[in-house]
Amino acid sequence: MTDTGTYVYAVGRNIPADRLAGVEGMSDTPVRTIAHRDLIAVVSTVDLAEFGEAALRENLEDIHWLETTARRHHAVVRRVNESTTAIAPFRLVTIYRSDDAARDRMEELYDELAVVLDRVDGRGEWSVKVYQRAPDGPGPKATTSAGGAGAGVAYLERRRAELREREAAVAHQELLSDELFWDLVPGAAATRRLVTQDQRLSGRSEPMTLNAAFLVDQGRTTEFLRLVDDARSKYTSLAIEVDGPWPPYSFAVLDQT
Amino acid sequence: MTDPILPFAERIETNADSIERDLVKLVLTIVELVRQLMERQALRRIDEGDLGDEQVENLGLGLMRLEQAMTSLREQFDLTPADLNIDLGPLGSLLSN
Amino acid sequence: MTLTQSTELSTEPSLVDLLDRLLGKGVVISGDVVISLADVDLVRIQLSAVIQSIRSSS
Repeated sequence: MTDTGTYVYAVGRNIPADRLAGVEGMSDTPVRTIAHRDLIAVVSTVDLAEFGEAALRENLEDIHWLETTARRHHAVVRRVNESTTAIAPFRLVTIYRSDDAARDRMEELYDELAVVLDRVDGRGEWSVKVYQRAPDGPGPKATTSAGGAGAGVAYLERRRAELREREAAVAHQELLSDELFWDLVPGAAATRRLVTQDQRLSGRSEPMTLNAAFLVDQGRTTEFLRLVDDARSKYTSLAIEVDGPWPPYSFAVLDQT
Repeated sequence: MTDPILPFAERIETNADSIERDLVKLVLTIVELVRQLMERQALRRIDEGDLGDEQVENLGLGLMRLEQAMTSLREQFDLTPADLNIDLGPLGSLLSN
Repeated sequence: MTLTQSTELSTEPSLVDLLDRLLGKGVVISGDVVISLADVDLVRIQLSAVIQSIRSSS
């Protein structure tokens, strides 16, 4: 008899168990629900040989395991999201020793979970990523100083001007991205700024200047997307990518789970 | 449950044929990094104002020659400035073009 | 409810986007470079260490 734990994917309200019939969680075990007061936790049983603390330390560094686990986790969360209007998705690998331990924790976190569920009820998460567009042509090159200065000094002056120009350009793009962010805020019930992604991860040749999540009422989605289109016309030096709706991962953050 | 930070180590795969090119790319990336840091440091020293005119001129000439040497090395191995770009997280992407 | 279903994501999100949401600190590149040959790690260069040593000697 191997040691097992209870893996939690999400907590929500009004999740009919029959909507989750046939959904498989980690290691293809069936997903099931645990009820506590008006909360429903969506869970599955996992083997601690794979999901125990020591095993996780290794597995989390294995990109293949991480990808498989993340995609399975997201697949379950998406199914739950489809079955209800209020869901607090959990981050990867939240595991309790047993169903009872999970239930106890739900009781401890009840008030916080209630706040989160009220916040996300009937709303979806939209991701907005902004990239600096590649400039149309090379920027103006700094000219060398007047005669009298040596070639060494001229070189330094040129480099200084180039560095300053680049810094100014970056600062300007960041300022514009910030303005863009605030232009979109009125269309959302809540927003969260995420860390911009490294170019090697985004795979883009231009730097990312904004990575934000917006919590948008389902009934106001068209309006929000219109604000994004307006921003596209307004900020011609920036490229905007919108993606959604996501389950509200970024808005279900508790101080501790 | 602690939040894991995923370390992405950039792996340069080498086989017998591309060893030279991969190692050159790595070495030049580091040299380019150092060159850029030196330039920034030199400009800071000059701004501090404790260098004489001749020192500044010699510093500039040295850095200029270093830039020329780097360009020629890059071209010799058919590497673009983008090939040598490396993002160091909080330190930011240090190449200027 | 209907809006969520009709605008459902038809494609899988990128792994980076997923991990940014599923991991506490998102995805961070630590700046190490590893040279390997035939899958054997030969050298691990910690670039952060290189930068630090230059700064402290100047």
